[in-house]
Amino acid sequence: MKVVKTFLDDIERGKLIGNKCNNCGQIMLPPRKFCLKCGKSNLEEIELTGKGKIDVFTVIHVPPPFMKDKAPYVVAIVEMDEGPKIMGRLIDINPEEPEKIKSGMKVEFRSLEENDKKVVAFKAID
Amino acid sequence: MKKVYAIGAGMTKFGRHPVKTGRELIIEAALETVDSVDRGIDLQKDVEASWIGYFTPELYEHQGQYGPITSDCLGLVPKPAWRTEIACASSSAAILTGFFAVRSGVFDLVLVGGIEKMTTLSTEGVTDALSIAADNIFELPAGITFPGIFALIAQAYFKKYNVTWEDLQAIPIKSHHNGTLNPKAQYQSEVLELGNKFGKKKGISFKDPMDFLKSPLNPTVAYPLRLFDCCPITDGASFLLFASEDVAKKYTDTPIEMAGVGNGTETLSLHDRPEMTSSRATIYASKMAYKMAGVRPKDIDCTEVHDCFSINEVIQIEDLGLVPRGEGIKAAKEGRTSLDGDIPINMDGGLKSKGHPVGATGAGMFCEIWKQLRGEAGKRQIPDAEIGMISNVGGSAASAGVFILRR
Repeated sequence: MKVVKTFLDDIERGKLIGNKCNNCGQIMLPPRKFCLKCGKSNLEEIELTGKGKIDVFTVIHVPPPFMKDKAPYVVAIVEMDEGPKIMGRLIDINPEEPEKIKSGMKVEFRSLEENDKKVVAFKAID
Repeated sequence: MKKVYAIGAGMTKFGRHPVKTGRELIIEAALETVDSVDRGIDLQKDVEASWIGYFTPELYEHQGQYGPITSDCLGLVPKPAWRTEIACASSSAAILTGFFAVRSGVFDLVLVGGIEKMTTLSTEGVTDALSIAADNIFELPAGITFPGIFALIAQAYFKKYNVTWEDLQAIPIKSHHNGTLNPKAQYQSEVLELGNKFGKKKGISFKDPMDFLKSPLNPTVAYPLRLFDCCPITDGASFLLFASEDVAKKYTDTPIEMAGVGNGTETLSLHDRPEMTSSRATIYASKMAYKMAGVRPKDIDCTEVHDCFSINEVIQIEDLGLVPRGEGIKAAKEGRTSLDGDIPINMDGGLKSKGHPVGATGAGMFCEIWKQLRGEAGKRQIPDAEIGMISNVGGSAASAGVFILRR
């Protein structure tokens, strides 16, 4: 069982791989071994389109040490077109104008490599 | 099964204790707890076991083994002792475990509590230490912080219920007012008083709390949350003594009954939850506690909730069923959650004003309810309080402990 490693490797390849529960239909991202909704383990792997919309966002002004030189920056929870939500960095957006960032804005998945970590990121599309 | 009573409660002042290590804080809180027992107690002879909550001693003090340390510095060796951890609800895990041990009849008298010695690290270091209560794989790489997680929760709440950050400010204003009445609180000043203190250095004066709260002197930490939406960095320890029904009367004529207890969990990552404006951990824990105590939300006279960030006080009182969904802020604005309101919340100033030494917080909230039910809460006393509740959460409320106490 390599749920985490596989997910991170997939991000690096620019892919968002989640899974679908064959019992209740729930779609999950990141992938799991037991369904988030019904708890059953009859899950299949699916690739998500990477398209979604901003659900909520924040602008981090007091960052953790590894992001010291990057603040302020935007972190959002994105609702993927297929349903699941995931946290990611919002890139190519002005953090100084939060009033211009709207819930519902369409975004697309981007893979980001930072401090040897694979980061889920999103970029606004129009 | 035996009934369990709290026969003692004590805590250090919450705040900055630069010259004290975790051990001194433990000793100070334990001594006050011993002093609080009406007919006295022989700590070393009578206590049979202890549990202590401490979230990250490894990071703050490069120290593990806080169970044996507690036993060691209080003279309890060779009696058993353990450290418990569920982030900011670590002392709730100690309370729960101590309760189970007495209820089951294994022990008649136990010491439970918590501690966190946080000011050994810089703000940046504390931010990093606290962050490990979030998901290290699926949340932290995005650069999220705890204020950031609660900022996301606040955004979800504002969107769902059409309220604003300005509306939310009723919470810190109330907390700071209550804190002025608590000699154990880290901040014992009204919001406006603190604002003008900050402003004085820059030659600015503020006319009302909102004037300050909207100013650059209350900087954004994680949009839309500002400094005064966040609890401070705090050192502190707190303890409780639990006794079985067989021995409680030996120590006091006013034992406080542990009428209901509950614990619960929620997904670690915020994005995995069906609702970001609610925690299934708290809902589950409170249902368990209400059922065990045989009471309903309207029976509760006063409540301490986990306001690590202003928005969480709102979500907590809704998850506990004290107010309807979406009405938490309204209740605060109308004064219903103030000391003289019908649903008093965080009489001691809450985490915002009293301080939040993570591992000590749950037991610290318990101390306040214990005092309230015994009529010993001084200027912040809720008249004739008979049933009180504590709701403590860990991290973004991925863990929760709820306790209902009865005089």
